[in-house]
Amino acid sequence: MRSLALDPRWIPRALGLGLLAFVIFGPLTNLLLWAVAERWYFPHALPLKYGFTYWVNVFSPRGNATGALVNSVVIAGLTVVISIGLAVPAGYALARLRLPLRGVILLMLLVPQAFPNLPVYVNIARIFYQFGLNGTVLGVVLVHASHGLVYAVWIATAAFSALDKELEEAARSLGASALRTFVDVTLPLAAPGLLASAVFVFLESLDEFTGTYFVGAPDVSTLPLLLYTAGAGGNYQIASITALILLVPSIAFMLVIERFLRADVLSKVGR
Amino acid sequence: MSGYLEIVSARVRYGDVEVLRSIDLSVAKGEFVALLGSSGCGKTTLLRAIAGFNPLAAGAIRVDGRDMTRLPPDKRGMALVFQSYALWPHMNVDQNIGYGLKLRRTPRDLATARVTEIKALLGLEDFGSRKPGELSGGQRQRVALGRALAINPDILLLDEPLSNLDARIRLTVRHEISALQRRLGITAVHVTHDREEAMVMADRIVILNGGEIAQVGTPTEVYNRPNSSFVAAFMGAENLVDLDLAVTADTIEVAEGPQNRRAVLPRGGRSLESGRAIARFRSDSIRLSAAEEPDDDDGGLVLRGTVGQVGYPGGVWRHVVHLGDRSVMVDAERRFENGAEVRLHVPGDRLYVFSEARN
Repeated sequence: MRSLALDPRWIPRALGLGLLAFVIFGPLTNLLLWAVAERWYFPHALPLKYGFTYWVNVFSPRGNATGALVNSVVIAGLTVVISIGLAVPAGYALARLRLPLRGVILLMLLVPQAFPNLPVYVNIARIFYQFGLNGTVLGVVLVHASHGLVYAVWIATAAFSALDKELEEAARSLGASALRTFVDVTLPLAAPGLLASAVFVFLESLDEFTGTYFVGAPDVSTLPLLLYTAGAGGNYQIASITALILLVPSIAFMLVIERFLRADVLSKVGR
Repeated sequence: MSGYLEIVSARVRYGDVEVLRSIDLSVAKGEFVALLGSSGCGKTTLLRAIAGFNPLAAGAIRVDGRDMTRLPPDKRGMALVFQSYALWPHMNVDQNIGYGLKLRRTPRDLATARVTEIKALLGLEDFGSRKPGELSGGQRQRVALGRALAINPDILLLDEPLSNLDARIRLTVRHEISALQRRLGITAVHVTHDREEAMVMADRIVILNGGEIAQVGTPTEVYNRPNSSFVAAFMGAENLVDLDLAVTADTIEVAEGPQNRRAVLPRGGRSLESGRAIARFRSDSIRLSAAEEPDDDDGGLVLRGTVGQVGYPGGVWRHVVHLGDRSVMVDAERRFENGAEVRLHVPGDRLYVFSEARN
């Protein structure tokens, strides 16, 4: 019979798991506490007074949060439209056509990521200034899209590569034109992969700070910029509330990705 | 003869490799033609070239006099059934079968009636709303066939559609497909590496070897009158012996050799030259007798050998008989022990002789 007594070998594992849980959930708990703390100062371990007055402040017409939230969502949405709009034809071409420089093209998309962000964004800001794109939503969207295209094209290429070519040929053979085949067979079957890449791009854009700061600030304010201003000003309540708002879509979308992005698509990323 | 489907000097290249070298083939309307060959012989390449997926480097493909050589697959009025079936996983059985009709803008009630008719034809009545993932291999195969038949194609192209089925289902589906093809009067080109499948299904068999047509003929022609050593071997005459011939106008005289007796066989119109030759025969077309038994010469070729191995695959005893440094397989009603000296009587019309210079 198995004994219910504690097996001493489990003690180090339990400690390890406990430490891991603390590392992951400790900062989040801190964030949650700050979001509902009215008064909290050293040396008290827990807030002295709880309440939602800061939430009211943040979402009041005087607060900047609502505008920043709308900006963030609009910019992320437009970034997704541009990135996926380019990634679908590009990914299809990279997956299906025998392009001579396929590897080079995929690598080139990584180049903006390969250099330190700051010099790249300073130069982008300098160039955008000439075209009057600085301080506009379009300028910020373009910066985000340069980021998002990497995910979008790489994942879209993988999604199209994972599709059996004979599924498309079967449609052609029955009389479907190339375009009709793409709409009726290719797109629906690649949709889970494309959806996942859209989610990645959306989250990347929602989270992006440096590019937005150089190209958008101060005219275009997004949640990360608001978070930065609040955090830098020592306003931990506002910073925590903004951070929580940023967390919600991330967690929701990660669940979506987990559901839709199949292993056979992931295994083709970068091939 | 001008056929319905005409393939004229068709060549296909993959890069520098010429996969098909000058294929000429004519298929009559309503005919069932099998492309037979081992893997890599170009049979699937030829089928895909007919379907429009492999562009021709040279030559032409015509259907009913219309040139199809440069047309894309969707403009050719053919339907290809894939080896993998290639059913669309996001559509159910009805949508898969009805897709071709949707493309042709068939009115909905007509399309529904046609899908129902096809399902009844193939015994798929109960599966209309199922997705391909929920079907067995045999059912998927029938959906793939139904999807192609629904559009009443001018030409039905079948790429080894039976190779993914269990051996037992395969036998029944074979007959179902050829019965269906005859009933509907469809012109069909069927690719297979299975000799028996080609024999029972096809009106005519095209044997391909190394990107060229080795022989075209009815099943009985390619089986009983193979035109080359390759075709003979492919059609089951795997046993090989070397002979020395003296050919006259209507006889072939086989000289006495280390393993064979002198024999005179009717020439039967075969083009042969005197000199070294090879002869092929099947393991089941031979009479085996013990060397010490009285000899009853029946006019065929008599070979002398030693039994090397005996097995029982069922029905007959299968012997491996050593003829000098060659070995042949011989089936017999009774068992001869290892090491027994035996005589092989090969009837003249079951011996396929080819001059060595030609092969």
